[in-house]
This record gives sequence, C-alpha cells and structure tokens, in this order.
Amino acid sequence: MTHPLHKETTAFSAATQSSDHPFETDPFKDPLYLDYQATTPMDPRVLEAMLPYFRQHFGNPHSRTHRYGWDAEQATEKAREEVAHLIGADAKDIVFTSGATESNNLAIKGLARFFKDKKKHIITTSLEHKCLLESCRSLEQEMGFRVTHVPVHKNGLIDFEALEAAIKDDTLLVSVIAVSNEIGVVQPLAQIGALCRKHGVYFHTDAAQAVGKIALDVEAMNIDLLSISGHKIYGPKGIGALYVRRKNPRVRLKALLSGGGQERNMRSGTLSPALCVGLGTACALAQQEMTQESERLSKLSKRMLADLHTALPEIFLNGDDARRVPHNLNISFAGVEGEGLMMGLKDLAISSGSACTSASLEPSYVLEALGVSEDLAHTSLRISFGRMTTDKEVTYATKRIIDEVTRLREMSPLWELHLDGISPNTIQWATH
Amino acid sequence: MTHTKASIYLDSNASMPLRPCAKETVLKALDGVGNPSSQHHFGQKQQGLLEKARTQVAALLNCATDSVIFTSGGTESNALALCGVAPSMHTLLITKGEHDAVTHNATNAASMFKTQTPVQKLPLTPNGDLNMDALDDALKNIEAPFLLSVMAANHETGAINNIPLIADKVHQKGGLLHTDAAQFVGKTSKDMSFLVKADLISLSSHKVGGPQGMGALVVQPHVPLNPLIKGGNQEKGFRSGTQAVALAAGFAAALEESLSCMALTHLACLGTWRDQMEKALLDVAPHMRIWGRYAQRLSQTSSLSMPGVARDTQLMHFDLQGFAVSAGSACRSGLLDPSPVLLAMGASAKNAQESIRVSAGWHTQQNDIEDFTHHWVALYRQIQERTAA
Repeated sequence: MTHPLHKETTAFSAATQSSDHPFETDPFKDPLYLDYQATTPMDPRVLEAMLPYFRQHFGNPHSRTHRYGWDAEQATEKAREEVAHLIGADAKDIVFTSGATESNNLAIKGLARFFKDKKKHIITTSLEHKCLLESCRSLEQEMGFRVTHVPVHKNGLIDFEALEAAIKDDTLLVSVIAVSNEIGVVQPLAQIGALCRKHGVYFHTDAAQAVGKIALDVEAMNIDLLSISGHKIYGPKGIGALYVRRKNPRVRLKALLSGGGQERNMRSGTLSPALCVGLGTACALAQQEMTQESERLSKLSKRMLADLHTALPEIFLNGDDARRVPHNLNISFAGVEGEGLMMGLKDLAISSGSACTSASLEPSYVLEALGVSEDLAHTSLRISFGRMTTDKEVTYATKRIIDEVTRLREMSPLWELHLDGISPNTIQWATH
Repeated sequence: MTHTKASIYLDSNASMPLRPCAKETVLKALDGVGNPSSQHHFGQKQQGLLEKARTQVAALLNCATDSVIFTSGGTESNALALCGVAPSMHTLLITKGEHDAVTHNATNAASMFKTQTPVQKLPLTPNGDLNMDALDDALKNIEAPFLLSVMAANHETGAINNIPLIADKVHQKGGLLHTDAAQFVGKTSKDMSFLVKADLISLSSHKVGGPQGMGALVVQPHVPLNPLIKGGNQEKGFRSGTQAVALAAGFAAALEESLSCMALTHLACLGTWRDQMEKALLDVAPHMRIWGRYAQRLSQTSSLSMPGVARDTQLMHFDLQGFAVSAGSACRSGLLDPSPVLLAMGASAKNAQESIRVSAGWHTQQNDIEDFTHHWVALYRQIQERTAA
C-alpha cells in the first residue's frame, strides 16, 4: 500500500501545462485583460517552482529539529536572496510579509512606534496608495504625529523644492511611492534618497508597482525601507516583502504582528515556503527579463497612444509622458462619461484607477492632485499591459476604445458643449 | 511497504501536510486572474471564489458569513484580536499555556489600554487546561469591559479548555472571550459549536492541512474591533490588502475535509493508536510522564518525557531514524529553555527538558505510530543499558 504522503499526484499537472495562452481564459467569455496594475496573472514558471512546496516539502520552516523544517527553511532563504538581489540588497535585510499593504503598514507604523518619543513628523505625497495614506492618518489620530503631504507638479512628479522645505528637525520619515499605481509616473528616487540622507531622515518607498518593472538599487538610491508585492510581479497573492536596512543607518521597527519572533522579530507568523518560493522566482524572472519586457511594452503602449491620438481629438495622457513605466496609460477622454465608457467596453478588463477604490464613484484623488479637473477626471481610464499582453490584443483594444469613445461622443451633449468651448461647470442653468 | 528514512512526519501541530483536496483547490484557483476588488469580469470571478470560501468556513463553524475575516494566518488573527480590541478594554487576561503569538501580542496590546494594567496570566491545572478556580477568583472583582484569551486546545499537550463554560463565566461579568482555536479545529471530533460562544476565534489554515499563509478571525458582530492593517478596506475594513483568493479557497476545502465523517473516523483511530502507544511506552518506562494524559485532549497529540534523556538527544536520534518530531512549538524550536507550558503544569525543569511532542495528522497510519513506538522503546533501553553499564 502506498503511504498517503508518497502518492504521486497526476491530476493537477494539467494546471501547469501551458495552453496557447499562458493563463486560462475562455476567448468566448472572458474579456481581454488589460489591468496588470491591479494584479498580474501568475507566470506558469512561478507556479511550476511553487508546486513541490505544496506537497513534498510541507514542513514548517521554523521547525529546527527535522529535515522537513530544514528543507522548507532552505527554500525560504533562497527566495529571500532572489528578492534581495533584484533591489541590490542583502538577503538579511528582507522581511517577508503577507503583501504590500502589510509592508507599508509595517514600515510606517513600525518605524513611528519605535521612534515616537524622538521624532513626530512624517512627509509623504498625495499620490500614495490608500494603505499608506491610511497608515499615516492613524499615526496622526492615535499618536499625535504630524503628516505633510508634499504637492506634485501637473506631470505627477514630486515638487522637489517643496519636499526639501517640508523637512524639519523632527522629521522622521519621507515616504514616496516609486511608481504610481494609477498614472505610472516614476519618481526620482535617487534624488529623494540623497536629500533624505543629507538631512538624516529615513526614506521609505512603496515599490509595489516598481519592483521588477524598473531598475532599483537600495544602495545607490539611499533607500532605507522598500515595500514589495508578490501579485503585482506575476507571483502569488498573499505574499510580499519589506526591505529593512540593517546598517548605515540601521532601521529599527516595532512589529505589528508579534509571536514566534520570525523574520528578525519584525514579523511573526509561520512563513509559507510555497509563497516565498513564488515571490523569489517572480523576482528572479523579472531580473532576467525586465529590460526586454519593458522595451516590448514600451512599443505597445506608444503605439496605442499614437493610434488613439490620431483617431480621437481631445484626449489627454495623465502623468509625465517620458518619466513613466512603459506598461501604464492613464488617459482622459473629454466629453465621455468614464463609467459609461467602462460599461461600453465590457470586453476589456480595465479600470478607472486603483482596484481598492474601484467600487467608489468618487474621482481619483491622484488625478485631483495633478490638477486634473473633476469633469475630466471622471472620463479617465487606466490601461495597463503586462508580460502576457500581445500585439494583437493591443490592436483589438485600441480599435474598441476608438469605436466606443467615438460612439459615446456622438450621443453626448457634453461633447457638443465641449466642442463649442463650453465647460459644464460654467454653464448658467436656467431655473424654471 | 517499508518507509525510507526521514519519511514519518509526526509534527502536524507545527504544520499539517497539505491535504490533497486543498492542493487541488489551490492550484485550480491559482490559475484564476484578477484582483477581487476589481469591478470587471475577472475581479468579480475572484470575488465570487473568495465569498464562496467565506461562506464555506462560516457554515462549518456555525457562524454568520460576514463574521469571517481572512488574514495571513493564526499569528495575525491573534494579533488582530488582541490589539484590535484592546483600546476599548480595561484589562486583558490570558493563560500560562498560550502560544507566543498570544503572549507577545497581549503585551503589545496591554500598552494600548485605557488603564495601564499589565496582562494577567491565569494558571493551568496539572492536566494542562485552565484552572477554573483561578478564573473564578480573577473574575470576582474584575472591571468590565475586559478581554480573556484562552486557547481552545494546547499546541504542546493537546489539552482542551471548556470554551462554552468559560464563555458563560466571562459574559456574566460583561467581558469578551477570545479563543485561539488554531490547534483545535480539525483535530477533534467535537462539534464546532463548542467554539461559537467565544466572541473572537482565531483559525490557522496550515494547522488543518490547508496552505500556509492563510488564516481567519471570526468576529461576532457586537465586538468593537480596530483594524491592524489599513488601506483599501478589504474584509469590511478590518483587514486591508488584496486577499489571497487561492489560499482562502484551499483553506475552506481543507477545513471542510477535516470535519468530514471520514476525517473524524480517522481521528478516532489516531486516538486509539496514540493510547496504545502511550500504554506500551508506560509499560517499558513506568516513570515517564505523559503530559495532559488525564485531560480532555486532542486525539492526535502526545507529549512524552523520556526519563534521563535530554530532549535534544531524543530529537537528534529520531531525526536520524527518520521521524520528524519536535520539542514543542515550532517557533520555539532551537531555543534551549524548558517549555513554559509544561512548567505551568507543574513539571520540573528537568522533566520538561526531557519531553518531546508527537503529533499525527490525516496522513498518519497505524504502522507509523507503531514504528515510532518501537524506536522510542529501543532508544530508551539503549540509554538504560548504557547507564547501567
């Protein structure tokens, strides 16, 4: 009789056999996925690497007394090196978490709780992801911290002079999102890092959208804390990491989750070897393929943008046109209602902004920070490409967007007014 | 069939091997694309999977669907329960048997109290469960609101606490009860309604044979809970962060299987085999201790001392013989101090240092336990002879 643990399973190997398309979509039912900034499908190679850790190597990586534990620990430590390597860090500086939201919470609250008696001021921007803004808000409310939101220019880049002016004697931390999740703008991390170092202020960056997409080096950029997400880089959901600098200067954090004292006492809880291996493999693949991938995606997005501009007047790219990641297009289509456009484009999986806020009908606070008018903000779409996006898909999506925007504009009184140079905001409606 | 070396895994309380049904579910779900918070087709499909898992977990535990909050595991569930409720509490009580994930988070939570009272630690009986007289004493003059955290089953001895009775006592005094049920669920044939009187229940996926990196906190609607991780307001705002849909689905599948008739029958068998083992060991070594033997305990856990043999010697020996066992909690493995749980039961430091934990799972068969019994006896005899010589 075969022991239940030694049975070879064949039923699931189908999961790893790639079909024509790398992830299972039904061409007749599923829309075209262009929402890679909300989450990415798993790379089949990542899944392949994770598989053994779902069955054969099931140990608790913190068990020090048997082989199952050692095997699991070896896997998590190799993954830690792969993550570290991608951002120019030492493996010992990587703390695994459940995702970028936890990483951001741990970075902000953990640092603040450790230094609360010394420094009580934090600087951030208005482009940040909600989890960062919320973490800062809770420090204001619960611990009496002051938080300064540095403005950004119209192109989405941080107002550097305002940042420098905001740094005070009791400033503990500057936290700037590396790549905006909505507009894809890349902030000048090295410049910000140098400024922070000069003033003796810690520098955290939420790099969930940047890791594996642009080159990052925590040493060259003087980054002290950096948040990483697994599912934004073709890895699994439920894992992320926080880079915590150990020397020059050493960053001290108070844990959010205490217990077994795993992850250098900064984050307790049993690690999942499968998820760690998934994140590590995703990082290793990104490191190999990042340059080629961004060249390819850059061509695709440039082509789409050019085609849209040719066919449609009065459309606006949000965020700087040069300093942005190649896989993001955030476009306002004047005279078209964004929700209506999304409804009309049901065959494209796209979003109007961050996935976390996508249920709310409020216009994006990020576009507001750029000075985009509320009307125009309501007409915006975020289109994001990725590793599995093909030429054909982009051609199809471009045509669909052009057709739909044209159709909606033809029916829209807003568009007529717009062509006449009238903004709905300035109309004096007659009272009856 | 004989086993190859290092193939008998008896450390399920550290991490239960992934159940095949959970593996299948996780892998299927990992092929899914999309963020459950996205509004489009892919997002909705992911959300559907997530809510299905939530409904499944809630149904198995006999609680309302919207009281289940998915977390990254048992540790996070405990941290959220303790730190999330602490700001509205006067006092926090725990037991001396709790896992570090409760003990350490309780200390953190205590720093958030309205009144700065230290955490009160209630003693255990020699059987390893909560000393009810001590609980009554502690509750006599207690000021509400307060929070008591009592584990449902102990990770080292398997001793089960009487959660319904404790809940009644706590509620009478206007307090809230949290129970860390990570080790309890899926390892006992008890009806899960045993837990529902608690106001907060922590669950861990990988302790029931689901994937690691997933857990849940059941929060009854009347509990004032502050989130620990803030952001996109997922999980009704109690726990932000994109949910790991595949892991939640795998957890639900594992939980369901762990409570199936077949699993419960197997658990009963594990109990019989465990008792046979303990009897055989006692016959050979009448002075050995079996911690919690007279308590109500999990049928697959056994905490054993081998007189005169340090636990590290035992662990090394069993590892070489191909048995994966442990000294106690996995997070503490590698530490040299005696188990605080056993000390709280009145064990001497020496006795505690001679004890190991054997914990079986869904994969364990009768001959696994018999093999272990033989090897335990052989080691014991070998050491006896050496000391006699």
